[in-house]
Amino acid sequence: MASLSGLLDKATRSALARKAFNFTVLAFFFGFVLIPSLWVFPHTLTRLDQMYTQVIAKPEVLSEAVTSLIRSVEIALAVVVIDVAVGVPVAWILVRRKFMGKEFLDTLLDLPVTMPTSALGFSIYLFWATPRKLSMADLLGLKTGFLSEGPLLVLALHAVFCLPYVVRSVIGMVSELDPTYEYAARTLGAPSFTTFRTVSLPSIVPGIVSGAILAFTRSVSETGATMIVAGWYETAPVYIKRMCDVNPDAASLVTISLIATSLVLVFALSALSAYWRVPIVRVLPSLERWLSTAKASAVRDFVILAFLAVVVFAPTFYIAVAPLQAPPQAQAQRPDSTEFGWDAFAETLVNSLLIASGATAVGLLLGLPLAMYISRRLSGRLKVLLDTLVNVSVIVPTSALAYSLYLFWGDAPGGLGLFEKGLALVVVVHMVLTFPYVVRPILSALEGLDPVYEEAALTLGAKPYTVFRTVVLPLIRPAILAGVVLSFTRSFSETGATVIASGAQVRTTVPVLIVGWVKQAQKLGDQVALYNASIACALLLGLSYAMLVAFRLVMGRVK
Amino acid sequence: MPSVELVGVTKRFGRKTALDNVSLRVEDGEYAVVLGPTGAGKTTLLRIVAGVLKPDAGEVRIGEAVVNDIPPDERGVALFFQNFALFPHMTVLDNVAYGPRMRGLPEQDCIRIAREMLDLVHLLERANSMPHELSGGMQQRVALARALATGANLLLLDEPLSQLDARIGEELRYELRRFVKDLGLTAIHVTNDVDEAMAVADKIVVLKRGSVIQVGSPEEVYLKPKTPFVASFVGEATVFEAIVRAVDSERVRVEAMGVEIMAYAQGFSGGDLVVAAIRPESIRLLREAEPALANRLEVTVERISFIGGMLRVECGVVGTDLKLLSLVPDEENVELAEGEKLFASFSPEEVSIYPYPSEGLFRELSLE
Repeated sequence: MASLSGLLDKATRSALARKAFNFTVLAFFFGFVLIPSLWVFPHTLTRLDQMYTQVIAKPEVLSEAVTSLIRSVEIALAVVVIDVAVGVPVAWILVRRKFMGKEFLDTLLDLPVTMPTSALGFSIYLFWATPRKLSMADLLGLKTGFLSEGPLLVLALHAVFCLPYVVRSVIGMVSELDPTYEYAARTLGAPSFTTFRTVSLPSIVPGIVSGAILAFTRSVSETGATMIVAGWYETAPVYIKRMCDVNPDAASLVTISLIATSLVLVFALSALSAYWRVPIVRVLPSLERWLSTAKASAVRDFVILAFLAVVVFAPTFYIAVAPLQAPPQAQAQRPDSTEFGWDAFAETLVNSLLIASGATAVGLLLGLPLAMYISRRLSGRLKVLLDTLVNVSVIVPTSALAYSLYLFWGDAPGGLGLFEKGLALVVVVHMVLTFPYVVRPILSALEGLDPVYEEAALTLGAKPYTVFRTVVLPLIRPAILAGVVLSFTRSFSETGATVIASGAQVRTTVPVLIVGWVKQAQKLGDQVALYNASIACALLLGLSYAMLVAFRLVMGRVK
Repeated sequence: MPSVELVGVTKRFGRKTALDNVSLRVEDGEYAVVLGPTGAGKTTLLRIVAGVLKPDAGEVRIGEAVVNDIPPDERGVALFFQNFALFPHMTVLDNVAYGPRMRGLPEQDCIRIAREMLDLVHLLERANSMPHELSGGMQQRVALARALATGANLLLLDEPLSQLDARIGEELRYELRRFVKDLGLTAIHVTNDVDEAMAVADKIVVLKRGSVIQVGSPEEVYLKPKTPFVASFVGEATVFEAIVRAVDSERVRVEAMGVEIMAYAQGFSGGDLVVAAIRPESIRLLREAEPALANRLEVTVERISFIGGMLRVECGVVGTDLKLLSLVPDEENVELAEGEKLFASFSPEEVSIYPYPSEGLFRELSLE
């Protein structure tokens, strides 16, 4: 180890070695992550005539494509509104209130993100749209599902898995608020609600905006779970999935529009938020004073927690009661198939875990140097540019990203023809989509780290690599861990991109297997597949919870 | 114009007691300074008066009414923060107009009051600046204008000068007192700076580890410190352990590290372990030929530093480990050199004798 450190020390002192290393890291980011993610743009430019004949000239194809796009944006905007309205008070409660079981609630809130979205989607589907035992319909005494497949169910799903992004992001800001500003406002005569509106809220707007951006991009890109609950209401990613074999040009058009819409809306949102002003005066003094009373605040907390219980937690955990349902009778044509499909489940679960670990390891190995390079070597516009490009790769919807990567690496016209749709492409997709999730927190931590520590170490005689190992690394360890956890859970739970990259192959990752089972059940009424899916999802719920608790323990120890 | 009274106020944070059964009274129109080392509970005390913290026990009265259950926005107090807490997202004018707006006054009145207050602190021309564009001293004045604009007549100042350069802080402390007196406010000012407290206070409250140690005018606190801690913290006195060797009707003779010292004190008896304190300006440094006071010790000059017209001389009593601190006027005929042998002389009236503190002398004098 010592000799390796010595070697690295020597290498970091050599300008040539450093240049070669930086070049490798940048080449990976641009050549493997960024350009392939956006490959759909140059790809389309070479096929404008086909695009015209196959899509633009066919009104029914075009209108279907545009409709799917509008639906995705509508759902995502509605999700942003709901999740900000719920997420901000939830974050406030979690930071500021003291109550029993707060830690537990805090852990549970991350579950919809950790769980594979297809498992979550299936659980939500069973809870809202079927009359099974203990479902919403069952509780209300209805004979058919409470909601049917369609926009409301899509909304119920997206609002759940996007909520944690808003809550986490706002919690980060709220816990860093300096309470003296609130004390100042209170002693200047503002009741507590007015204080929140005029003083605290403006300070947490950046957190709300970044949470809203994440929620928006996650919502427009989700495919796997949406396929389960959407029914006739086909959103853009579901449309891309269906069209990428049938009419690739239509898929490309929607992919391009989806990426462009996301980028435009995201940058518009962050630009507008700088101009957004909350009125300072008391808008409705008597109402605000009433809202500031202990009673009103208790009512507010109760309503928020009730919403969490009914709309978020009950549907998410519903799958846990699935094994309580009787297994289906053996069907005449398949007498041996009442057993749960252990083989397929075990195989794909192992794949999922290997892919998540591998993608995270690669991301860390190349992401850490990239973050160091952006933060410590670059300055001015170049730094802003690279920082923005890292953000762009988060914003590109994962389903669009998977399709773009397929066009780049795969056997589509103009592609490299290296991988067909299948497991290999899935691995590539996961490496790309997790990469920014490792880089982002590390980059923020480095930006927040005062360079005086590094300067001090250098003047004390440490070589550059030793400075990194003994000073920088220990100080940013929490951020590295956060990046690892984010990247791992992102890969483990991603369904949409994997579904697109898998093509016809079902046995790739576990979320894809579940989508396959559920679609089989929904289309063919296959009770065995339905049973398999419900057992698998229940197991994944348990596994996700165990993972979350483990992550918490590790993170807690690091802090 | 209210008086403020705390009766038996206690506040704990987890297992740490920040305020322990604190009682004190600040009269109408008085400028009171709560003085104590960092961590004494000063800020907690102020926040409890302001109402942003609730006491675990005890009563807070403002103008005779118990205000424990009254929220901060209805107490009519203005809290002034160490870091000024100017809202970073509002202009200077909006910051100052915040209080009047919260009282629901018509908008043109809010602006008028805010402009008047800014005029008062000579910052009207910066009304449309953002707080971060101002210097520390300007921010301090904006914060003052904002506090005054609420019309509150009880001003709570939390280390208002600690973030400023020393010279600016010294100018502004008098300005602060002048505002309070001109506008007829009651003020409670919290600080760990003894000079600042001495300069502005009508009344000083010495706080240590959450307890009130002494209340009195600056002169009283300085000249008649109640405990060795106050003597050392406020008066920079030389404080040391001693044993009572002999007593008569009004005097005692104590011995410290083999040195015998006479002091006026009553209520002690032979063999008592006590603490003696001598303020630096009461120790004179003499050449051999000069006539000495009752106490006369041979000392070696160890370190000399100059502070505004005075010489601060640290010396060691010859043949012992006892150190004395002396302040002598820096006059032309006094030419001291480090290592020089002199006599330290002081009268028995200038030596204060205290019973030995139960927690030990080190802990008594510790600032933590």
